[in-house]
Amino acid sequence: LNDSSEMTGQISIVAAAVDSPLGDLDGVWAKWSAGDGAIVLNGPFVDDWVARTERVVRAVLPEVRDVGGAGLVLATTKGDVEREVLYLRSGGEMPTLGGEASRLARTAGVGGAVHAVSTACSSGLAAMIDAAIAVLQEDAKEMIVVAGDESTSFVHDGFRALRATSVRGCRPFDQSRDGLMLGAAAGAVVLRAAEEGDSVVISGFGVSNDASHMTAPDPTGAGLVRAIEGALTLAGLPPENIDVVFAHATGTRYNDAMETTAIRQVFLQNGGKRPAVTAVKSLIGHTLGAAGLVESALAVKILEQQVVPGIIGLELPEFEGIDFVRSRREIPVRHVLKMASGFGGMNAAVILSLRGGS
Amino acid sequence: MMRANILAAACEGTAAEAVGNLLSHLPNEVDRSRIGFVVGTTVGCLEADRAFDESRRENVRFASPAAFAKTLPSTAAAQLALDFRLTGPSLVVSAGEVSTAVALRRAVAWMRHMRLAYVIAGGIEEGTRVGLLLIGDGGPRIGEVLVEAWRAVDLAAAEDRSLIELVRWIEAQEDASLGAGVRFVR
Repeated sequence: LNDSSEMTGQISIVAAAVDSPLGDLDGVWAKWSAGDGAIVLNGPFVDDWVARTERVVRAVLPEVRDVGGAGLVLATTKGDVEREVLYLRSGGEMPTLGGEASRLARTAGVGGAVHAVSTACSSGLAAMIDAAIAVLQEDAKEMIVVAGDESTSFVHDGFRALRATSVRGCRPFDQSRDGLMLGAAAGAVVLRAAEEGDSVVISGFGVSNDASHMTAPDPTGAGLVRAIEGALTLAGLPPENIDVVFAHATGTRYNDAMETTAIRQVFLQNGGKRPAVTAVKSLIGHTLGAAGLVESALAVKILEQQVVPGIIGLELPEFEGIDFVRSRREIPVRHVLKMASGFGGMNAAVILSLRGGS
Repeated sequence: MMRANILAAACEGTAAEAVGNLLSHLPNEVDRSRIGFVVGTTVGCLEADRAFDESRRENVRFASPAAFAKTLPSTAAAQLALDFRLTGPSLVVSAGEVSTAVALRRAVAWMRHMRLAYVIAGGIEEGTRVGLLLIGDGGPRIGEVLVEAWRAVDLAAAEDRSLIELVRWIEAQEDASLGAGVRFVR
């Protein structure tokens, strides 16, 4: 096994789709890049998770060359939790995450391997990494990765019980931030081995566990640092080559503090170039297991458009030394680091790059 | 076909006992950030979901935060990572009756592409079965995972047949001589 520890090729993202209350990928991007979105304040959405996840699959299907030979990975924390609550209260058929992945595979007509990945709020990135590895391993030539979670009363009651939700709206990295706001979205991407003409590639990835606490992040940021450094190593990039850090930035006191600690440790210790740091949950909310993938789709837009949207709602940054993007910037962007962290200390980091952007 | 050496196997009563057993086969100085943890589950955290749902039905203002914190299919993996200071990558997969087989296949792939020294992999079902292997590339070759692609399986199944098969196989082994390997071929 030791002879193949390097990424032997890059993996292209050849299609990306988002479905959210703010619209599709272009709709969300238009609002974010124009900075005209309102800060997220919401109760449980009236959500049709089944329809939403199927729409994003259908949206990327035209870019899949051989659907019958493709594989599919579903990223989700809870799957169809409303149906599970019905099962718990009334019996009937028990929903499973594998069954949900299977439903989407049938929708698409996928004939390859199918499974679900669930690693709390890092699920979206973990599933993209798993699918990229599947392509590197030649398990499948193309992988469809779908991510989604339901924004239901079960989830809202839980985060309220944990006192993790905001009463003022999500304000990542702001001194006044008081918690997360839940969002509803699904996303999908199609991955395959990079070819001439492809524009955006996954050039590195890393995954780690804090092994520190079941719900709170490790305040030292050590786990996230390991995930980021793993991604940089696989990509063969020094930290100063990262132009944009697209933070998880839930707007909770602990997550944002941990992330900035990790960013400082990786990028600022040696006085190197400071990456621009942006985040989007103040616009779309925390979409849980979908977050990593939905936000990666937006990172593809950053690379394609060479525009870095600002963090909506950030007025008084708490953390010094970090180059937070507070309004739209048009700057050269070759490499975006996307990261996510979840309950149970699950961290994941992916570097998305313009092909040939060394 | 994907291959990796099985260094040890365990299916004691609890997942913690099994993981402790497997880690006892490794020298203490092993860097735990290079140990991956990849498990399959079909049912996930149904009993934790039930406990939280009951707490919020009684009075939503007093819904149990402790119960909600356990309502993720990744809870068991996270708790074990915490208990045993496993700081390497964790992955939880679900694929109905082949969840454990998929976990073993993903474990070998992640070991290769994440530069891991070892991976603890297998299946954990809440309150019922546990079957885990310690796989790696070094050490004595005492077993081999052979996991081939499964086709036409029931991904919605609530029972993981591949975990049942793995547990049966582990129980049939004698101590350290794990025999020719695990073969999940449909």
